[in-house]
Amino acid sequence: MGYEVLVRPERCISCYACEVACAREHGGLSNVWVLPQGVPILCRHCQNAACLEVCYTGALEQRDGEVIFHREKCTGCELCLLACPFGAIGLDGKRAYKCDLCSHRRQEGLMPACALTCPAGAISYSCVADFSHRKRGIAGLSWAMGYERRGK
Amino acid sequence: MKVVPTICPYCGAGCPLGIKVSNGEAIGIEYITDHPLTKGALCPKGNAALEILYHPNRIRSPMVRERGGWREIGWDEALELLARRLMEVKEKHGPDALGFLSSAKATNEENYLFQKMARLLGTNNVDHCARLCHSPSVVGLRKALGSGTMTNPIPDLANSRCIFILGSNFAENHPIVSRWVLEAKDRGAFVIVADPRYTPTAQLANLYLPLRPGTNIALLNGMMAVILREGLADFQFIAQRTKGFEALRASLSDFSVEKASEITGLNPADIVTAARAYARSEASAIIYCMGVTQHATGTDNVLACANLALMCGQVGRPGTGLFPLRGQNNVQGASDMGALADLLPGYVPTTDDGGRRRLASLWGREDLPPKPGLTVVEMMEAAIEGKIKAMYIMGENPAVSDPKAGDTLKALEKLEFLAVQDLFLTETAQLAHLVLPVACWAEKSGSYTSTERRVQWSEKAVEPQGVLSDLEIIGLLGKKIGLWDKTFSPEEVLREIGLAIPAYRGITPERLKASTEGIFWPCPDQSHPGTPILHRDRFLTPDGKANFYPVSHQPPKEEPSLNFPLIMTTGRMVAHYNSGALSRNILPLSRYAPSLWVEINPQDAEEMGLVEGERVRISSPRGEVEAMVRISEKVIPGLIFLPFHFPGVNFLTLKELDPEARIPAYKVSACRVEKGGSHGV
Repeated sequence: MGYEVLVRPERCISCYACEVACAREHGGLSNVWVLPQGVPILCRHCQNAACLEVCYTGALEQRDGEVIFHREKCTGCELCLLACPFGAIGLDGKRAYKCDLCSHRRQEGLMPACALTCPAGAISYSCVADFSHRKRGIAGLSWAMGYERRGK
Repeated sequence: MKVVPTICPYCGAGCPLGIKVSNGEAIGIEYITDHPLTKGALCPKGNAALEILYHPNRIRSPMVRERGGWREIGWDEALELLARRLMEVKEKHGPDALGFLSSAKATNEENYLFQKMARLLGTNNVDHCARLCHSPSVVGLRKALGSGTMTNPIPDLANSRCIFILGSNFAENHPIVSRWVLEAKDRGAFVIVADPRYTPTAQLANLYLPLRPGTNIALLNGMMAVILREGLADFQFIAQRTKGFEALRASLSDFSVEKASEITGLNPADIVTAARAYARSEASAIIYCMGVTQHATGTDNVLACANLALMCGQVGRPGTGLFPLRGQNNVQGASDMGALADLLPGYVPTTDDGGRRRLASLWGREDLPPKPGLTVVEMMEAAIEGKIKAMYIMGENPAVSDPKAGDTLKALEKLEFLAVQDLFLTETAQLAHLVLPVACWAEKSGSYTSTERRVQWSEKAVEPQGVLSDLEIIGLLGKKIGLWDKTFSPEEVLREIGLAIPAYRGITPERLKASTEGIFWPCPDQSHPGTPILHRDRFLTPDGKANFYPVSHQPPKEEPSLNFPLIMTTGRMVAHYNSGALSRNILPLSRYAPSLWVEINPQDAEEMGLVEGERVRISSPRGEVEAMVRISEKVIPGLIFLPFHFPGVNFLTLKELDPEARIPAYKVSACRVEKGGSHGV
């Protein structure tokens, strides 16, 4: 099973560490957006990616469970940006930009910066099965203990 | 390319920060994943830290202020001038006409040498900003438990079953703490947050208690009344390990949850829930911060927290304890090193003849001055009165951070001589006669003590350009004055610290450099592994027992009035840091809040006809400041919140001091908000 950037918004403290780290790793532009309510938004690398469907130049490509963006093929038509259901694609001047899962870091065997830097553990680089297993455990415990949950 | 391990220069958590260095230049940061506290994580400030290193606004040469502006001078001339002016004042007016502010940003070695210099010159007028944040913890927890520090490491919070958070917004100010609180919560812990403002930390709570500002003691005493009434106290622990419980019980006999509710404005049922959850859980921890300490009753507030923990036996085991979170990378270390007006290295009171003379003999003297010196705020008052004639300020920015800062500006302007040592030309440095530029954290090596009592070594990553480290400057200055005949390496000074402070005896440069996770003091000898959890079998008091000190609610020093109908409280935000010197000019951070804002409840905003983004003038009996309106239900009606990272906020705050800890009552001031700043809408 492949590794993905997975998010637990209930853990997000809106500290913007992921934005600052992502911007530093990507020439000043963050590919992740943190909402003040505590949700980091970034490319979900969809299996059936709407952005990829609408891209007519082949600038977006799916490979090994990732949606890869080829900047040099982008015409800046913004169709992908309109199609993305999460608003996780930005426009930098004349070209789109989106999360590349820190491909430059992974080449050196390092994790994506947002997942490593998140102080609250809201963003992780893990596989879906492990992530769901952990969440089931937490939900089950909470159910068994019967604590009233207020707020988040 | 290599990765040099350093310690993050921002808050007191002590997160490791790797700096990627290539050809002598820092080219990026890297996350250090094998550290038990962070597992690689860094908050936004840590992520932006490298911006400090090559910032264009860094001062690169000593400068003197002249009529026409700043004139750059050489290092030798600068040190000559500093030595001469300090000695002139000392000879003419005596050593107590000198005032020294040490720095919670500097290393242990720098703080140690700085206070040593002040004391060898004959004065205890050496203090630093711990006075403004956790002096009530130093005083209160020392009285109650024998040590003013955090009792347990941060990751140990994962073992807590109930976490009670009082006046701490760690989600913004110590973000890494969130990881361990959330870990506990994942394991089923009950999280309670008491704060007048619905902060990002409050969002993590199972139970949120929006108490009125300045009513901590009423809440804590109310909880203790419930615990006693319901027989939830740990009487075995009380009998075996504490003293003074009967006095506490008597003091609470006429207090009740109803009275607590009346004072705090909280629902009585919520106070009962909090009390039961805290007392009943197998392991409960208390995290507290400036919302507890920055009051005229700061010491009493801390004592009330200690009373609660002791009454329930929630100290000295994993998952329990008290967590007074420190706000600066080395505020714990600077306090340990004795950069405090009344305490010598190792918290030996200046009035303790035996301890003082032992230290004096280590320093080759017969004795040191016994009279406690003036604290941060008192030094400024003495400067206005003309009793302090010269000040030497290392890495602090009192012009922004002092309460009633208008007085501080007057004080600094009145000085015959002011020397400021800093990275940037801060608001305080602009008033100096002499400015000395210093190396930042990545340009020097040395040890820092985190809020956890974790002592860690930070390596020099790059060579400084045109600047010297604080340690080099103090060393050279002391040599010029004739206090010593050589300069010192950080390693040499740390070895002397081991001789001066018993808790640091086993902490050597070699051990620290070889360790990835540092050493927790007390560490009495070189084979000792350090002490992550304090008070396991005995407390650090002389007789080993903890003490109860009954305290009762006192109303805040200033209540709203006809002219100033609102309560103003202050605090921090995640993208900024303390006086703002390390964030307002760091673009990746400042873009989140380039200028001062004020949070106002929608109800108050509607009554005053204010709209989001409008500029308003906020005034208190002491001064005024302009800010941009943010309408938010995070604050209750009648309360406004200002982040204190911007100049001017502290023109409004109150200078009333806690009688013991001498901390100012920053957290509650009366104020009014008026439409229309000078820039219009």
